[in-house]
Amino acid sequence: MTENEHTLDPASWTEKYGDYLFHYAMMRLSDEQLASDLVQDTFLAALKSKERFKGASTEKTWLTSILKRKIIDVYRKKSRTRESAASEFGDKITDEELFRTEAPFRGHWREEKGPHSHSLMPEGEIENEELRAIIEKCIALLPPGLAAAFVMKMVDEADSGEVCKELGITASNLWVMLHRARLRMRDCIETKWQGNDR
Amino acid sequence: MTGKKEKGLMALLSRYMMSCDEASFLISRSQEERLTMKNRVRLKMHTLTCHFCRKYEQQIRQLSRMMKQYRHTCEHDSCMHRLPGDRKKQINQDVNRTLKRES
Repeated sequence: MTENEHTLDPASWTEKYGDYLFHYAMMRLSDEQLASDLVQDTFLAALKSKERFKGASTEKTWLTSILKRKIIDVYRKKSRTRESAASEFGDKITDEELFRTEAPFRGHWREEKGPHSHSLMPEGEIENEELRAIIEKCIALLPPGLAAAFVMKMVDEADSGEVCKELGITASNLWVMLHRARLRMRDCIETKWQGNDR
Repeated sequence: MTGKKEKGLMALLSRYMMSCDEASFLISRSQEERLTMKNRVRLKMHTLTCHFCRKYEQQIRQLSRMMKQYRHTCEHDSCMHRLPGDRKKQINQDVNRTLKRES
């Protein structure tokens, strides 16, 4: 065995990676029951496909990639069929909750829904824990289709082509979904931060 | 009634000006890729006169930075999520039971 080869030691998985994988899932789904179920599913799936582990990556990386797939499956199950997801997010940019619909101000920010300050929260001063809590909550409030696109692109930093393939959508669907996710994240963070602060 | 002159002005404006929903879409898109020259100019013209979209642009840039920070936030930290003890025990038992069955 060379030094670069990694081996598997399933008996130690829970102790070594249980918390890490649970945290990973919580950051993306914010649901304790679901997150711990996925950790269990990940270990059992990994045991089943032990032979396919080639030792090129570490145990941790390998287990994380299995969990990642399971998280995408959850989003996919939560959102409706591909067709309806695409049409729901694909065609209409205007979001009536946020933008006015009456002429001549059609498409302009509603006064109470527009951004009110230049900064979402005071950067540098914010504690990790606070940042984590607010973003996690806001991701959990996104519609699942938007959450999937946003998390894959902004948290996992996946390539756009990969995200489109994974979610069965076109590139223009993806732009619109990310746009809609950002509108909601911005609104949610601004609201939650101000609620905390004042 | 709208006069001929006003109609002409509106047509000219609508060709170059955009609404906030389009501006915010372009702001979002600029996070992933460089906009075309035409869209960069149109967006600039919009944000010059629209304080909401000016703020939106700054907030969306900040959101991108925050998401980068979020990615690794709390790992191995006191604010890391930890698997509840009883679940951990149960998962460990499950893994070991499956292991034994296989060997």
